[in-house]
Amino acid sequence: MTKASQISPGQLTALLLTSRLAVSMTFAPTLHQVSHGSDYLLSAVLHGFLILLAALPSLWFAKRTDSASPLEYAYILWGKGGAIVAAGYGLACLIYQVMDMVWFSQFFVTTLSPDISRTVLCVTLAAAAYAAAFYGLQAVGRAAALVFFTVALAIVFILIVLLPDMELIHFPPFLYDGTRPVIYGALEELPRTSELVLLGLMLPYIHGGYKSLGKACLGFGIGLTACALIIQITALGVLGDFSGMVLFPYYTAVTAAKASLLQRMDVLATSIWLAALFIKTAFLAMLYLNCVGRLAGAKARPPAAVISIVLVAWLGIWLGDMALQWERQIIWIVSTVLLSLFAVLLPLALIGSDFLRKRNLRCSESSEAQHESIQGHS
Amino acid sequence: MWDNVQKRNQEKKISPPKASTPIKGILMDDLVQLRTLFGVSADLTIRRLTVCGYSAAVVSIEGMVDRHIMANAVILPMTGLSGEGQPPEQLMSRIRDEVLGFTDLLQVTTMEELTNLITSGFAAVLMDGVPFAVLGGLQAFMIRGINEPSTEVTVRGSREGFTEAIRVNMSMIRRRMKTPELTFEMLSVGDSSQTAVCLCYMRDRVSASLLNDVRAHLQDCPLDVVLESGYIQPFLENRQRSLFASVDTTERPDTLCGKIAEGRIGVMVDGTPFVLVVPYLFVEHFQSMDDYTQNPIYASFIRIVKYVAFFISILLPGLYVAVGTHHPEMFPPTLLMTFLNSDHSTPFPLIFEAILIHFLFEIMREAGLRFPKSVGHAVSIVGALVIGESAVRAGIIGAPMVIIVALTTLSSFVLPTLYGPITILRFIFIVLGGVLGLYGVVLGTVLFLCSICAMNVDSIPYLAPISPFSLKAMRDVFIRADWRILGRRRFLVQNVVGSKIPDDQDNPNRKKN
Repeated sequence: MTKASQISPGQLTALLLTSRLAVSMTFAPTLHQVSHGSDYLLSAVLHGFLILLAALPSLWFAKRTDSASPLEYAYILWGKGGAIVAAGYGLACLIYQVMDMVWFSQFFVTTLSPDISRTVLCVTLAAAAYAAAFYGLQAVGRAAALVFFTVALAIVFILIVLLPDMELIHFPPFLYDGTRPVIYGALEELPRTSELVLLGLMLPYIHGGYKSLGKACLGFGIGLTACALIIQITALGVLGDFSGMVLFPYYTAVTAAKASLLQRMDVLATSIWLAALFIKTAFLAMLYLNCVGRLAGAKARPPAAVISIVLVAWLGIWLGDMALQWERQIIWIVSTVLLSLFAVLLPLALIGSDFLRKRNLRCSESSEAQHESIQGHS
Repeated sequence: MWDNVQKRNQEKKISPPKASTPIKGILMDDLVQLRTLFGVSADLTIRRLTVCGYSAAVVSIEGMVDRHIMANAVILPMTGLSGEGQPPEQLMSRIRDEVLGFTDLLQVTTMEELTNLITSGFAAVLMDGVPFAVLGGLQAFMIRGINEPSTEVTVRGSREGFTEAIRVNMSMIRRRMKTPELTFEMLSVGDSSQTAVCLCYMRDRVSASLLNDVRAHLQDCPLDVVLESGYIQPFLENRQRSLFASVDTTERPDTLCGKIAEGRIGVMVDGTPFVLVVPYLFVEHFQSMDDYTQNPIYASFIRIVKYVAFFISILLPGLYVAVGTHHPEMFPPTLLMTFLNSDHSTPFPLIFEAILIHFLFEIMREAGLRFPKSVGHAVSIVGALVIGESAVRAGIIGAPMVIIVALTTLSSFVLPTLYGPITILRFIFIVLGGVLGLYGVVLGTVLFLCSICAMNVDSIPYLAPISPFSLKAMRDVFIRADWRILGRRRFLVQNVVGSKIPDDQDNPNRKKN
């Protein structure tokens, strides 16, 4: 990997945070069947800690292989079997894009419903994100840093604007229902952190090796916890128990905010959410196209991009129209499978395979040496 | 068109090098050769004379040399020279050493060199039996005087602007930078025009790889005629299909001095006052000479004004169309009423209104620019009356839209170097806002951001030091710090965050910062 296509740990942190904030800003406790109260604040902290734990296999893999790409390493260890890993990663990226589009589509239908064509908006989002993906990782990474700064500034601004509308009484005591809601909330959110799955694919693109990756993960965990806390405090402080009755509490809380000329801040919140979602889709599209390139060559990337734009937009709208209660069953289960497979099992399998290969190599070398020494004696 | 250029370039590469024609030393033959080269051109002047019994000629181009000096300092002393019987070459050497008392004195042996120099304002002496020519620099062509640059007006600072004469421009730089590290490197570009191009840089600060790149781009330039620096600018740009320029142009010697002091390279082209500067980063669009001569607090305020103006000029019409069309609930109640009144009184949708009025404005601007100044003013008055008064009164365009256009166009004049990109982007955002509302504007903004982030200028991120971010560099980006802070550490362009330009640590000319 040439240094020209690498990004700094700071840019990676911004990229991961922006990508995850696209999910955090539309946190739906009713739909996810988790606590909407103070316990979720503890869940957010625990979630941050779990992110660091879940990143450990990727970090271990990065340390052991000097930040090699799991795709390339799978080809080295398993020969043509590596293609399965590339195809799996590509499919995972595509699934995440579809899930995000479903989420966007549902949010659009249930909450926004302006007189803008949903199909046009979904297709434009997918097409623009794929266009951005062709600019490369550095472009997306640098843009993500600016978008993250804007998003962070906006959520802090919204918090400040909504401070007069907040009530302390809206915050119930911590652990009122025991530790179960806290753990449950964190475990519910962890699989929705698709960035952990993508971490492996990013390894060769990070300037500074596994130590930088470690720093980026730490920054991601801490940053995400802080942002999730701000978002939840805003929603809970303004809405109180009502936040458990609406689909997207943060959005509902923001609708109440007024700042000088701006009569409604919901459009601002939706806009920054859309910017974050754009970065996430572009990030996923770029990694997906990398996998396609590895599988079928660089020339396959443009046609694959066109097919994916149509597929992601169409599936997003079609699945988005389906009943909301399916969301949890489908998205959470699929996300959990993907997380377990690519963030935990695959790095461990690659490490194990590498360990066995090296041990076999050592054994064969020592047996050859023994054989030579026996021959020498005789 | 690009294919043609490439084809021509390939043809150029495979064609054999031009054979040089030596000066024969037979005066009549050499003069016939010269006359053949120039054809029936009326400005080639050949003055035949006899020096110590030998036929000689003084060749020059009319209007390029000082006739009085040529008569008094070349022709008269030569005709009065004594020394009959001397061999012609020895006589020619005497003429060179004793008669021609010029600082620019050259001796050439080929016709190509000879024609090149006489077309640059040299007078050549040819003599029968001498296979070389002696030339003296007698340039005296008319040049425009040094005036205040019209495109970069400043409140404080020098009133001098570059002229069309490259040597005069070089002297203006040298007068400001009295260091031997300042280097002027002459090149020639354009097969037919043979335009003199001068690379101007500070030897101890410039990156060698950057300099080699610029040299290579200029030497590979396939153009036949170069009349202005704009001709060679695309060959120095890194990304051809980009709205934003990665090469700066300046008319001000003080600005160029500031740039080359930061390790940049100036490219002066004979015949134009516009000097190119490479590399050029996005944040430099927001910097001007006045920033560095005024109070830092006020200069910082102006910087922020410029950034705000940039966003207003790109996004305001798009945002207005988006909010007015799809999210009118965002307006405060009073403003909403005004907007609704205006919207109901006009027949067109907002997107059409915005495109129409901006398009009309561009037509009037272009007309005002191309017409003579007196007519240009009339065009502006007609424009103001037609758009400002009549269109609103007739109910074709809403009054708020006129205010938006006025504010937008005024903002775009704050950044003259960005006028082109701003205009194109404004139209794109109007369409996005009209079709997809604020969401379209947001999508367009992030895509635009990715596109600009993808640009690298000579291995330096175009958006540096904003992204990649450098806190230290912020002292001269969104604000302009005091000179006491700016002067602490020398800034070199190759040290910008994210730059991949080697810093030439082994450069013997490099001084420690």
